[in-house]
Amino acid sequence: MSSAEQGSTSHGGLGHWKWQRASSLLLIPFTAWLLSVIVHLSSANYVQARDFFSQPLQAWIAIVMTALVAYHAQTGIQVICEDYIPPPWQAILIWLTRIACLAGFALIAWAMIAMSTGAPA
Amino acid sequence: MLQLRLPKDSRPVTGNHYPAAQGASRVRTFQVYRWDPDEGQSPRLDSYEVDLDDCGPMVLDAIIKIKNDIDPTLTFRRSCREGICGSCSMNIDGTNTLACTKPIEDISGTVKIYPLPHLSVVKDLVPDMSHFYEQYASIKPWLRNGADVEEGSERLQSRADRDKLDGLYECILCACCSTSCPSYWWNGDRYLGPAILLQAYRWLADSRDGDQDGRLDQLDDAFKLFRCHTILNCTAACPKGLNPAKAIAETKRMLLTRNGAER
Amino acid sequence: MIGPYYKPQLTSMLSILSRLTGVFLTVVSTPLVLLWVLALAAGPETFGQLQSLLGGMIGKAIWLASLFSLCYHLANGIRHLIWDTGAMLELESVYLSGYIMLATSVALFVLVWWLAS
Repeated sequence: MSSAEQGSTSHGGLGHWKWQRASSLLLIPFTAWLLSVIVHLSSANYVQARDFFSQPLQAWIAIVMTALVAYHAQTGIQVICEDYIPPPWQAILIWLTRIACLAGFALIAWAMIAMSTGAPA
Repeated sequence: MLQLRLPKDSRPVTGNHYPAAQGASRVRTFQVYRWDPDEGQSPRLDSYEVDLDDCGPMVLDAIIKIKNDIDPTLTFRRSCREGICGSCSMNIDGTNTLACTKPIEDISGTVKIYPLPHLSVVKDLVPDMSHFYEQYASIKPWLRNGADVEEGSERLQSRADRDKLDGLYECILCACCSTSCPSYWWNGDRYLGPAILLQAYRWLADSRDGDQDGRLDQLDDAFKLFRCHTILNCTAACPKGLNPAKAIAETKRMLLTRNGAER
Repeated sequence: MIGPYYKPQLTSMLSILSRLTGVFLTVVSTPLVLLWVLALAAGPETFGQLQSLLGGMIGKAIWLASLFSLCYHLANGIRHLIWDTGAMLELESVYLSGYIMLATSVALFVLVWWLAS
């Protein structure tokens, strides 16, 4: 069986494992950013917090991080479902997780774009 | 699948107590899991008091003494008594090891002896190893070179290549590692487990083998290999000091670099 | 099997804590961050309502649990990535890196908590 036939998508064993590692690695610098934002905004009021995310750079960093978190979380929960939950609930829960992560990402992306394109506070 | 408690009739109850003989000096209690398929009862925990001054140093010495002198019905596997055959693997004091190489003095208090976790019990401390052996056969643990065989010729291997098999060939298939792995507990039907994956890597790492691609193809599966989450109970359990976690990590890397190179 | 059958060890306990912190971050922390961001975008009144909702003892506890989960999951995640390269998988290294990772995650947690107070 050639490796072409086994499929190099994320639906095999290696695919998921590889992309989960990639998302983890990329999340390291983003997590450092998140921790610094937490410290920075801990002493901020509403207007200051709003102003922070109205900066397109910060908003876009947040959007990219949210995408990475959504992927990483979805894949992580999928592995947990595969470990512990027998079919048919296994597939159902995996699909629910995918929908939830996608929805979460969409909402945060929308909010960030709204704030950085100057929607009034 | 995840099982947080055994079914009610599988949970061991308190069993018989066998006190030490009169005048026994250094007495230790051995609490042993007992189950007889012919009795139709729940498993039980029998306690045997043993005089350590009249017993060899290893846990196997103690249970052989119990079988000889106290209770001949106690059933367990054993053979070489020197840590090379893999027969006497069991759960002692909460971790899996060989009874013949586990000193009693390493354990404080009551010595608790159970069969290897999450395997069907045949009787007392004897687990059903058939699925484990089937998984071993499934990785085809022999040199594969297809039609590439020259009669009468040797397969030469440099010392450097032979060194790569150190830490792999010494496995005695005792199953201590696999039965210490939570992923193997919950998904042992499809997950190969650390012992078999170490052996799979043993053949992947052998320079004389010609079917590395075929072996890697067979392992690239969400369950066979990738239920390993590097929990590392396996390396902690191995009574021979081998490192299944490292072999599995190397196997994953082999899969990764093979696919990466082709894309 | 768990229960009285297998002794909890550093290997298995640090591993399950990674999973538990990951689940906590996904199921509790991230939805709350989502609410925070949406409230921020919605306006000062909504934001103020969310702040008072999350201000009490329970909110404080969830905030600390989330921060610790993040620090631990990050630190142990890096340890996992090192293992994936094949390095530091000898048992002595596993135990040493385990203790160093725990200390690092606690130190990071305390640092950020202090700076954000």
